[in-house]
Amino acid sequence: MSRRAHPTTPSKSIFFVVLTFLALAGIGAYFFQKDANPYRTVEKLIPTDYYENANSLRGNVYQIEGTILNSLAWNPEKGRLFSIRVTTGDSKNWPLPILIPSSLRQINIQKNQSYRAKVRINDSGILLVEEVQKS
Amino acid sequence: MKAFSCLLLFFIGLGAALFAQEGNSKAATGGARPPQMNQGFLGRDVPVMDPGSDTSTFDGKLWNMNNNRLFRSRFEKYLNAPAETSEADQQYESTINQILTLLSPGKVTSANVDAAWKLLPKASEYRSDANLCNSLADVIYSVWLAKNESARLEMANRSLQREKSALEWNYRMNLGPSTIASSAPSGTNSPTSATTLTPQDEARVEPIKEALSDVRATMVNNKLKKEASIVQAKIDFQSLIIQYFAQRRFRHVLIGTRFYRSLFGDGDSRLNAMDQIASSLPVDKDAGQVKIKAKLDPKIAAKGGSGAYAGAGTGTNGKYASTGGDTSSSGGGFNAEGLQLGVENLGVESLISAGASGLKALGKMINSLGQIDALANEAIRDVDEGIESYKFLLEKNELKSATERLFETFMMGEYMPSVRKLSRDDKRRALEFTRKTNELLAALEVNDLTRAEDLIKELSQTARDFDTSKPLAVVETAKTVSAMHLAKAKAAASSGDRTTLETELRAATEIWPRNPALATVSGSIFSQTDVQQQALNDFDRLFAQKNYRQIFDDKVRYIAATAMYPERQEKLKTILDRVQGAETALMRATELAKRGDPAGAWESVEHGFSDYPDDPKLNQARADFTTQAAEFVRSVRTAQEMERKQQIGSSLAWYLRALQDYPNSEIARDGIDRISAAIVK
Amino acid sequence: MLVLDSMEASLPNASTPLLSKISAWYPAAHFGAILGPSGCGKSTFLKVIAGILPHTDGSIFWRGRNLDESDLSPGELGYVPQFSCTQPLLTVRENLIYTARLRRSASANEIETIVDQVVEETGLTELQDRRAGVLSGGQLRRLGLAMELTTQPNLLLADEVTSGLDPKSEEEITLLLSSLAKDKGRLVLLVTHSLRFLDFYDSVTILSAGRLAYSADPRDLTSYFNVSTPEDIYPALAKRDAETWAEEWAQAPNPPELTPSTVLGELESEMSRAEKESSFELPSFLSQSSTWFFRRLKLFMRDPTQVFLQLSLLLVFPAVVTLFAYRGLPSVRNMTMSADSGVLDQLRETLAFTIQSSRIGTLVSGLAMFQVILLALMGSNNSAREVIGDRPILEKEKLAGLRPGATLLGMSLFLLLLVFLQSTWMTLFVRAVCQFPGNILAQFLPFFILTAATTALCLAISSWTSSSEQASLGSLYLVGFQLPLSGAILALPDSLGTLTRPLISAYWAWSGYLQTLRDTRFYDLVRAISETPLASYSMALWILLIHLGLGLVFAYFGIRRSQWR
Repeated sequence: MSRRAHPTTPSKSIFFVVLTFLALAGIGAYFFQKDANPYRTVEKLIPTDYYENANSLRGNVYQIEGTILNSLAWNPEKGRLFSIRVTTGDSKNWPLPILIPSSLRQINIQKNQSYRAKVRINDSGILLVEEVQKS
Repeated sequence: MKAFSCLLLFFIGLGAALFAQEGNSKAATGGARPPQMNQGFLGRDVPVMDPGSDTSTFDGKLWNMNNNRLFRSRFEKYLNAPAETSEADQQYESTINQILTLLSPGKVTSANVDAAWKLLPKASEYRSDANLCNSLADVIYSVWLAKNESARLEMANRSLQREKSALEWNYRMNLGPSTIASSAPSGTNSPTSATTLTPQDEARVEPIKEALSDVRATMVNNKLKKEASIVQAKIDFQSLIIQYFAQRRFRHVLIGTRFYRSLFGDGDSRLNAMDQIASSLPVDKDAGQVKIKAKLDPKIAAKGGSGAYAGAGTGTNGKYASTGGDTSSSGGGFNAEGLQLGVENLGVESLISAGASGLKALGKMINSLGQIDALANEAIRDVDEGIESYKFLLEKNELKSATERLFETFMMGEYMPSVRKLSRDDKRRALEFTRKTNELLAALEVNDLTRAEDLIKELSQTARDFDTSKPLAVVETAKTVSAMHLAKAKAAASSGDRTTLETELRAATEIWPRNPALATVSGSIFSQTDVQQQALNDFDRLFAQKNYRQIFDDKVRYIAATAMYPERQEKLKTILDRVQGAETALMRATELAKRGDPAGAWESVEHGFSDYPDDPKLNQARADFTTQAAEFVRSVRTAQEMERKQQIGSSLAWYLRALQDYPNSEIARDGIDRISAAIVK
Repeated sequence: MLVLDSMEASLPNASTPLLSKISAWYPAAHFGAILGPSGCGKSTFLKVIAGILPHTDGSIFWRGRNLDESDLSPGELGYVPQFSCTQPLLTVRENLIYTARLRRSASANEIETIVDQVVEETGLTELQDRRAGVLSGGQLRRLGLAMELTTQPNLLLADEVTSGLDPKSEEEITLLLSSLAKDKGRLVLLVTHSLRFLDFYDSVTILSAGRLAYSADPRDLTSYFNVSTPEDIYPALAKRDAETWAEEWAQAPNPPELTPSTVLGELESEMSRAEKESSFELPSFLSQSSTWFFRRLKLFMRDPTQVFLQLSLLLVFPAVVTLFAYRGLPSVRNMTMSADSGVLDQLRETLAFTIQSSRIGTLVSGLAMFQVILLALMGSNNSAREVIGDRPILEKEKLAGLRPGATLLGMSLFLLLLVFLQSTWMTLFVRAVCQFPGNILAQFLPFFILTAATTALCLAISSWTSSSEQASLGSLYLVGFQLPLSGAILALPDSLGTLTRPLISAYWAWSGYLQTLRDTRFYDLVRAISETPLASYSMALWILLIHLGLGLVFAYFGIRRSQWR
């Protein structure tokens, strides 16, 4: 018995609209979150494993995320060796050595920068970066 | 008295000779004057005591302190011995007197001689005779035997003469007229005449000829034997007498000469033995002249003994007998007394050889038995006088002179009854004085000036005639010089001049080792030296034990001690560096630990530990900090372990972790650098 | 013919109804007056008929159809409220033209014709170029009538249009209304408390305390109430209670329904309805939107204060931002990578870097957040009063056929213009002065969407509040809470941050903007000092779009809902 000038506020539709938006936000968040980590399909490196026995992980590919600590060594042919600090869930810091091959020399690496990288553990048990981006 | 002074001069000569020969290189025999003493102030003026000669040298002059040690002991023995006044001694004395009485001139009959001869074995039974009388009896007996032998040979020759005449007869009978005519005069021409003999004659005469020659030879031999046995007996007898003289058995000499005269009747004749000996020796005319002069003028002899004839000293010192060949140049300088004492000097054991050598020397001076007899009588009188003089001086309390007199007398007439019968109490005072002087000598010998001074004082009280000026001068001078050296040592010590200090201290010590001032002064200075040696010993021991920490804790001591030993110093330096390193590490660690940085502390200790792993302190600290900085230490250790296992990645990660725990970590940094370099290489 | 059958109206939770058991009927081509003392429910009576207020019982029939089932169409009803619905900044003619364009689908020429006709009808010809703001009360009432007449309604309800006017104007309006009732079988009901001109009315309805006391020919009025002059009616009404009057009127004999004049009137009304149904049409959605947009633009341009204010904000806000870095952003000195230097050097360097990063990071983060907050402020300023400020007009226009969606679109278009200008200028100016690196479009987008979203959200607030003050306050809160809850300045506790961040547009814009600096060291420095995680760029835009969408949806519903004073 509602008249035109006096519409009832459709709380149900508002509810559904809001729900729709939340769903949209959630879906979007889900996708964009995934989008934020291009290596999400790659297994994460567990620092303790590496500390335990790096050689046993040789040939494996992992993703790591951490902050550059220092440049350790440099060679125009082999690339740049850095130490990177990886923080685990229990907020422990694990410095790890990563080797950025000369093929990735266009990347500007600075101290205290955070990077996410896809790494392969090479024959000498060092994390060899295959792809890297700032995180 | 003369004899004594001669003896003295002889020994002075001996000392001088020793110095002349051995030079100053043989410090031990020359009285221990170290070579460096010559260089310093007062160097040559320091009085030097020569224990070998009992002379001390001071200011270029020699001063004989007393006597030869050999005599001294013998003399002391005598002084300690009781007076020989026992019954046996008296019986012996009376026996000897009896013999002398029986043989005294004017009373000599063959019956007395036989009686005297029979008393000889009896006298010989007494200990103090030392079997001298027996020897005499034997010689007399052998003279008698020799006389019998010559009589027997006379009779043998007479029978041989008869046999010879018979053989000559036979020989002439067997020869033809031609041969007899040509060869009659003598057997000696027989070879020429024999040429004229027919072979048949030769064969017939030959045995007779041989027998005749044998008989002639035997006759000549027997004649020679007869002469020889008498001469031998004389020589033996003379030799014995001379020997007794040399042994200062003057009364036996008297007995001998009296027997000799009764047996041979040529008592005043020249001594055959001497002649024989003298002629058999190569005689140097010049030496002979000197000898004569010496005999007439003892001063020349004394000069010769002390100066020109230095070699004589050595000659009388025991080597003489074996090198008898050159007696002429040395022995000549001595008169009878000198020789007598010189021979005595050799002691009982060398008496025989000394006698022989004495004979040789004596042979050139003493021509007749009468001379010996006179000398013996003179000596006996001299000894008796000496004893009297001793007793008189003793009464006057002039102990020094008394002792000297007694000593002289003893030296000359040791076996004379007057000497032997001197009462023990009388000898005792001389003994005490001698002992004191000996002590003084000993004190001066070891430079115990304090004791010497006390002794001098004591001696001057007991012996009025003891001349204290010389020993006191020695003592005072030594004291002064010692004090001066000490003063210099002090100065050197204060200025830190160790070389001088040591030299001066050594000089002062040598001059007066028991100087009380030395003890106090060097107590401070000298203790350094002792401490130094102790420190060096400790250092070596600790070094061997690798107890570097102990060395380090006492480093001041060892630095001072090793200052003069470059090798040890080098060692010490290394040790100090190492322990210093460890210590620094430890201090740093403590500091860091205080600041709440156990990881840094651990690393500091770890560095020190690699330098000095044996240090217990460091080890303790290391253990402590390991627990305190467990996480960091675990990281470092794991990293090192991984590196060993070629786990490069893990190792590097652990090093990085260690560095994260302790950003100052050099170990971690080194590890990271090393591995990183290897990775990008 | 309008028939009221036992109509009742009451406010929720009210013990006494505003109107009770009112039964009356009005034929076409009729001019009826609703009389009664103040507070007797005259205006309520009219609003219930118009549909602005709901009737709680009984039924209303218009031309034989129950309005509950089929409401009056916008073209059938004309309602002139007590207040002025004109835009004072527009001229009389502009007012009429925009009204006509909003209500009728017609070409510009047709609109002109209609307006000319209405102007002539209402005697506003001389005044048509005057701004409404300078018109007198009578002229404004006339303009109000003219605006209603643009749709040629069959039912014209006028609420107190003669009140407070001088007697001459009152008479003129009454005469105008009387003449309008004679035209095209139109039923005109006038609420008034004036008892003059009783002779002009075809019928008089008297209400007393929400009860119907009389509804019949005005000539029988004095005899029914047993008074000598109509002026004595109100005192007489007061002598007995409304219930008694209502019962008495209910027992009185009803006047005859069919008279020759009513029949003629009904016929004429039916004819005009057929004619109208063929010619009358509401304008399209877009037409209404554009009309709204252009009118809003014109109004904005006509208002120098608003223009000045907007311009000031547009220029001053970016300038204020750049004050903090008018020489440009400081250059970032990087740390040496070598580990060779001593720990002390490293520490010193780290300290220097930390100081630098806290300084520069804070600056960059702050500049970003400052821009965001100022844009949000501008956004809220754009729309806080957009709806509530002219809410009665909006309601009136909605009643006259304006679609809420079209309104929203029109508004949005206008606001978009502002938002675009604001965000563009902010982005460009700050970027130019402070020399921000990064992609310019990428930096513009989060700012733009943020401003739009804030504007939309404030529009929603504006549409849902009942007063300007409320709206302003609400918008202010909205913006004010953005800063602390964004976590850009101080990090929130993780759980709280996770809960609040999705709602805070500023956070997303800030994140999105900072993400455009990702390839520069500024990003690292901000990361170094900020504990709040930064959302990815696409995520930020997405969430901002969600905010914008939500704002618009809520604004739509807010606009759609009825809110009469």
